Amino acid sequence: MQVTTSKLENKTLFAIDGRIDATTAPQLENTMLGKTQEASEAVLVDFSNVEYISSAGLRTMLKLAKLCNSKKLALRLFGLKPNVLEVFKVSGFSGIIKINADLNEALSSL
Amino acid sequence: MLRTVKLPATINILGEINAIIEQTLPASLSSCVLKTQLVVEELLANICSYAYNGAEGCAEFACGIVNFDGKKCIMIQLTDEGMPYDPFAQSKAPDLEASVEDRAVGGLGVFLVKEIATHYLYMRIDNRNQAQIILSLDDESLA
Repeated sequence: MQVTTSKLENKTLFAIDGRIDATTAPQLENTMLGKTQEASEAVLVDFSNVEYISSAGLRTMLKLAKLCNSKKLALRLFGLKPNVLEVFKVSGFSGIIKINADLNEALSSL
Repeated sequence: MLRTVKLPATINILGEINAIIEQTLPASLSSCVLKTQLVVEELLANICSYAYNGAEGCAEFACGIVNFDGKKCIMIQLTDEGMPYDPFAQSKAPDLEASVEDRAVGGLGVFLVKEIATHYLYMRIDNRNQAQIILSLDDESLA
């Protein structure tokens, strides 16, 4: 698993590549929470290269959502593959974290 | 037939187990492969956390295609030699309606397994904990 952080104007964009499981989630969490601490505008997470997420990954996303809420930053996840989206739905996370089809939709929803 | 392997009960064996699942199940069942990997990861994480109270131990993992009630299904079996522990009895359903602030971090793993599984069963057998999961091949969606 790799995560790349970039800036889109003043928004923070995380692009995740690979599997988010119990062995990779801690590294992802460190990077995302660390960078989000420094963020001042919306946080966007590109899931289009994520093929798998387990509860360890959901935990990371919930911590990110809690941090964004406390810093009053908008958070958008986009590009979720069907299997990954189902895990968000089953866990109820799709009701509390905003999910968009692609980057354009995520940006226009802000 | 189930393919069975016995490994140290640590989450670091996940990569090895995922590779075995990919070798054991046909590639045409890619979404079932991911579901199988999810079930195994969540049950293994539970064994690593609770079975041996911090001491070293083993986890035995088996999976394969079986005939169940006249239909082809994926069967997954996780066994450990730790203290008696029924993961399905312990897990509480998370509050799916809670807001981001109120939603508890964690406690989702076994809930996901229960939601994904067509059938799940726990047995204490020969001083071992055994969890058996059946995933129906016809049911391609998680929900």
